Amino acid sequence: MKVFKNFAVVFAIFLFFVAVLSCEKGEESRKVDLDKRVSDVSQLVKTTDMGKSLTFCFDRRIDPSEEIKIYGVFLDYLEKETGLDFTLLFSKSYQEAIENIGAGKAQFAIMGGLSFLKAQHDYGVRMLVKGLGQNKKGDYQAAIIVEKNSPIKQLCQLKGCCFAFGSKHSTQGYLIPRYMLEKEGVLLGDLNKYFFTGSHWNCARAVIKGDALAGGIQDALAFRLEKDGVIRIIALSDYHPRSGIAVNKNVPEEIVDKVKTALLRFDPAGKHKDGLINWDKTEMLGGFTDFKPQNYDVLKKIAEKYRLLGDS
Amino acid sequence: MRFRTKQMLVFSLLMALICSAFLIFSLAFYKNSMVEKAEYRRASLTIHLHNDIIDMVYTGDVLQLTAAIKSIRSDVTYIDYIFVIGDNGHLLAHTFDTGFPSELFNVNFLPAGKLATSKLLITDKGRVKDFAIRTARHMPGEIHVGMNEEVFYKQINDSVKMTIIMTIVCLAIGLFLVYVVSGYLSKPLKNLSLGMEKIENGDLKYRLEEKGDYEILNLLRGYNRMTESMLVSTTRLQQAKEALIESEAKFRTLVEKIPTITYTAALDEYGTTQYISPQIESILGFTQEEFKANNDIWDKQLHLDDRNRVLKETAASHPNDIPFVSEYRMLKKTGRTVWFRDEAVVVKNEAGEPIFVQGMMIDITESKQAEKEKKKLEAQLRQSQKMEAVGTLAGGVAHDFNNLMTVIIGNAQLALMNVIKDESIREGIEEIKKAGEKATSLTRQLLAFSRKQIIKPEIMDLNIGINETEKMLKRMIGEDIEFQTVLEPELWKVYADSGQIDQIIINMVVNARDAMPQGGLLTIETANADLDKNYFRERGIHEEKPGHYVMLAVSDTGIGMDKETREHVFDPFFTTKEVGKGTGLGLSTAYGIVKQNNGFIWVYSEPGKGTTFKVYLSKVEGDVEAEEKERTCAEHPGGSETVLIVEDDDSLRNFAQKALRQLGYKLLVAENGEDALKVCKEHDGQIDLMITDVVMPKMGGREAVERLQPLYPRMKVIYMSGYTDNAIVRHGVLAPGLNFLEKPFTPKKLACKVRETLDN
Repeated sequence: MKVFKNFAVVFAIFLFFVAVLSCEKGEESRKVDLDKRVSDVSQLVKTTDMGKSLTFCFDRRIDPSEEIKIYGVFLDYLEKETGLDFTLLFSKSYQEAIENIGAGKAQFAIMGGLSFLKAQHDYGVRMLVKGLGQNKKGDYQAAIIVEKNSPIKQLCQLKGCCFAFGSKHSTQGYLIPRYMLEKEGVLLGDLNKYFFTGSHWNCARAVIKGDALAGGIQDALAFRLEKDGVIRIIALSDYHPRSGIAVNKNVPEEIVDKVKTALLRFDPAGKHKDGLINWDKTEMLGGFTDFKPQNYDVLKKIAEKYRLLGDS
Repeated sequence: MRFRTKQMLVFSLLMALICSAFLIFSLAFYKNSMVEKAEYRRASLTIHLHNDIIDMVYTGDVLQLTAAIKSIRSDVTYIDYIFVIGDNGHLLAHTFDTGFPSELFNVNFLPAGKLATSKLLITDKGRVKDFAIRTARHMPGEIHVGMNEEVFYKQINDSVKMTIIMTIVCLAIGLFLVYVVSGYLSKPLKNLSLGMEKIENGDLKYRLEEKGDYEILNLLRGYNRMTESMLVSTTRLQQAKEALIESEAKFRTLVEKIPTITYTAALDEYGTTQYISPQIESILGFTQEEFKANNDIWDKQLHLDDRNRVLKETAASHPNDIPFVSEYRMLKKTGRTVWFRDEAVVVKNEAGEPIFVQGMMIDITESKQAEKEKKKLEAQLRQSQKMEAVGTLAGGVAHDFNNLMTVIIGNAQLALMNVIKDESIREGIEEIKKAGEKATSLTRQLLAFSRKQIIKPEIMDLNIGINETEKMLKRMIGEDIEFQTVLEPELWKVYADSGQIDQIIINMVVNARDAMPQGGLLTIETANADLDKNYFRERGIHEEKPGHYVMLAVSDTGIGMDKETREHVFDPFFTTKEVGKGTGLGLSTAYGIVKQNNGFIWVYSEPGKGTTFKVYLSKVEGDVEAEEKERTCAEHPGGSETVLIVEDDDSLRNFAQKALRQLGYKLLVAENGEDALKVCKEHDGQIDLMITDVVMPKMGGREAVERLQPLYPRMKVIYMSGYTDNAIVRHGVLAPGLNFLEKPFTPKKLACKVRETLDN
């Protein structure tokens, strides 16, 4: 009898452990009735605590998922440097970006020259810092490209051709390429057709696909694509100031200073290189430099000439 | 607890712990691993989902986005729903068919700074975990994926259950194996334990089977060797023990059973008893505890007459290491006396120092009594021999004397029968006759005392004898003495010779009379008595004959007797009377008669307190026989028959011849048996009667009768004798059927006897 008792004790201990193990950790749960539905979902608004963070806006240049990765990491740097919270605001277009920063939806925005000038004209947006290229140069060029096997070699040959621009608000994708064509005597009316693709990539794709005989894109992309052998650059523009980071006029100065300081300290080619993802696909390969308002005088004149600043 | 049980318990515990540990770790790690994998898979799925739809989220292609998430949901069974919230905080797309569950929208809050979070929801479909993922870092948009836990974890749960079940099964199998293995492993120990039990129960012949592994084999062999050795030792020990027990039992029997008190005493001043055997109680009446508790008992119980002597002997022996031997008396607890022979020695240790006294007190009371009895018997024997000698002398004298008296009395009677006118001659002859009768009486007494008298017992009533002799007795005691009888009306009968009873009564009455010279009271008493063994023991009679007796007592109120007189009262020729006043044979005669009749006689007397003689005769059944004593006979009984007289005494022969001739009988005479044969041979005709003496030279009467009886079948025989003889007497009693004529006899007695015998 005592043997059985001992065995019973042993087995009870064993079952205890089993029972203990079988028990799952109590996790807080909530009962939800999935059958209680609404058809008008517009009334549903997500509760979020991101309202206090600073919004960083950028316009879409490449795939959104790519850009989200790139700028997400960048914002990590800023948060770390400034101690501020940042939210990324994705703009579908240059115009949306202008409106986002102008209206204060975003406090900061990565903008090209033309977009900045527009935003400055319409909303009083300031440029905080200017981007630097790979060689720490603060300027960039626009490139007019053709398909690699295209017979077009000069810009003047583009009269009567189909030409693709990037975004209507793009400096390297529209303003400068248009100016380059004009300087070669090719006006928009001289083109058989011209259209806006919305981005440098779309423009490049349009040229590659043959939707357009030539197109105007950013130099970085043009150089890369030419290197890849898919296009050929037939003309490069003068150097103009790169895109920079604009700031809404209502952002407090101390925040502006913090951010500016962090931006100027940003060394994407150096010490901050490891934490970045595909930063080389941006226009600020070399980081940022201080902005001088006269940097955009030339572009401003060109934009005014084409009445792009008054267009909405 | 048994080894096997402990073994099983230990192994079971270990197994249980191992199984538990395995279960714990397997469940923990496996489950965690599976959960991790599942989570990873879920995370991967989520990431893929995120990657797949993120472009659609930011291109704003809601339709494509909705189609994409619905497709994903349908492909993955454990996804209950997916919905996407844009950066503007509004619902972009979802997978619900109709409407959207409003409670679901904000149920899982994704804080700023966190890329993902989860929330367990309880829905009608069960437990659903809502995973919220940011569409991008630093972007408010969220993707929510609802994964059904039960479906998702089903496999894990099933695996866990299976693991638990398998663990339990393994544990059960393991326990069974433990049971089996422990049994196998503990078998040698069990056998060894069994072997030890056998040893414990005394079975040293049990041997273990010697097989197994090296160590076990050695152990078993060692056990068998040990058992063998133990058996040998035990056997020897047992034998020694049995011998010791036997010896001890013998000694104990000896010490405790023999009628001897064994003791051990200290050599202190008190002689403190260290050991006293149990016989102390049966012999002295004191328990062992009583005796040991009180050192004075031995002293106090010593007989007064022996104490001083014994104490001196003790004091002289023990201190001087002299063996103590002494015979002394002690008083039992009841007060009775017991004789001891005490022998003790001083016991010394190895160093020669005296340590205690050890001794034995042998109860010699019986031997002392036997010794006393022996002395008494020796005295009795001497007395008896003396009396036997006297009796033999008396018998011898009586035989011849009776013959002479027969002649004297017979001739005197014959002379008186012839008329003698001269009175002086007649008186003289009368005196001769009286003297002869007195002499005959004296002879008879002598014969009775010596038990040589021939007795003819018969069933009789003592009361009749007493009543018949009362007148004579009163005349004997005189007028100064008052005579009374106290007779038992329903007195039992006795078988005795009436003449002898008369003799007894007369002798005791005479003694009583003589004890009361100044007068007094004489009482004769009869009674029925039952005598038991104690009665005989108290009187020191070894020949115990308990039974029914008839008591005859004669008491007087005379001077009484002292102890010495009482002890000699039945001695022959003992008398306290003056010379010439008593023969000293009366009471001894009575004594002899009583003994001859197998009775007992005692005297009770104290000086100045009178005397009582009590005679006890055995009761007999039957009626009183016809008194032949008072049988009448014709005045001159005669006849004409032929009578043969055989007698070696010439005078007596002539007397008898003469007496019978006068009565008309034809007579033949012979001197002895041989002569009788010659006479008969020469005689023609019948012989009707043969009167013969018993003891005769050449041929006795008995033999002559045996020789003649066949020749004369109708011949009757009368034996005549005054003397007991084995020929016709057995223990003094006449053989039944024989006619006897006691000498001396008168002519009338002779004539009556002859007539009576011829007429019967």
